[in-house]
Amino acid sequence: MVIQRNPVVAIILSFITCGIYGIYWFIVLTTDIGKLSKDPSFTGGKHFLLSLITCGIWSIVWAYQVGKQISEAQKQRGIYEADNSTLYLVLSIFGLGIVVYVLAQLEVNKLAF
Amino acid sequence: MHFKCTFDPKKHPILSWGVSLGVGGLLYLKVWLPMTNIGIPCVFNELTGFYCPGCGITRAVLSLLRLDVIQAFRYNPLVFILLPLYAMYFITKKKKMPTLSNGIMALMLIMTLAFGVLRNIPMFDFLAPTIIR
Repeated sequence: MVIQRNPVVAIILSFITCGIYGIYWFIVLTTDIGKLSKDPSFTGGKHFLLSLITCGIWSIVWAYQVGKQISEAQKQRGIYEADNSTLYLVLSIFGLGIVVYVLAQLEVNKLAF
Repeated sequence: MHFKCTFDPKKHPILSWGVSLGVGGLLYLKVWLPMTNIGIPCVFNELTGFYCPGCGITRAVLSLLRLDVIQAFRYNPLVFILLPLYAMYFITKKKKMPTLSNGIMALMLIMTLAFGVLRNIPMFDFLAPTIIR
């Protein structure tokens, strides 16, 4: 079960909890995307751990993989739009990870069941 | 004698990725770093002055390449504990044992967070990247 989340509310919650909600959002969003693309190895815990260990460098790899997973989920449903993995990668290199969260959440909301 | 190369990287994606990552890592550690001294900085450490759970991994790998295991362990003891746990997580995930794999992941996350906090407390500063020789 993948639930829809309002990205604006999630951003506000991330700010007022000093980023702690952002961690939760990262983990559940990643797990949701893994469920949508039917890839059981794409889990939030794993990607959070790897981001911690690599001082956040892994989140750049994560952003690219998120794009790939979302387009895979769209292909499986026959509603393939675009492969945004490179956009996510560039955004996250420039420190705009939160924009990646929002864009990915909007895609997940469209696919959520 | 005619030698035909039959290796097709597209057929072995994991092998070719692994080999290119390994060669790239070795070039970075053994050629790029000694020549330029420009490493990838830890943003967290640069901004706050605190050590993150991953600080010292580059130096640990460099020590391992010199076969100095004890020094590598002192730079970052956590990776030496996480690697076998991660292997166990990978296997339990593959064998579809969700309770066990989720438990191992939770344990790894708790250990990493605790390690990140403790190595910045003076009482536990032996966990910080330490040069012993």
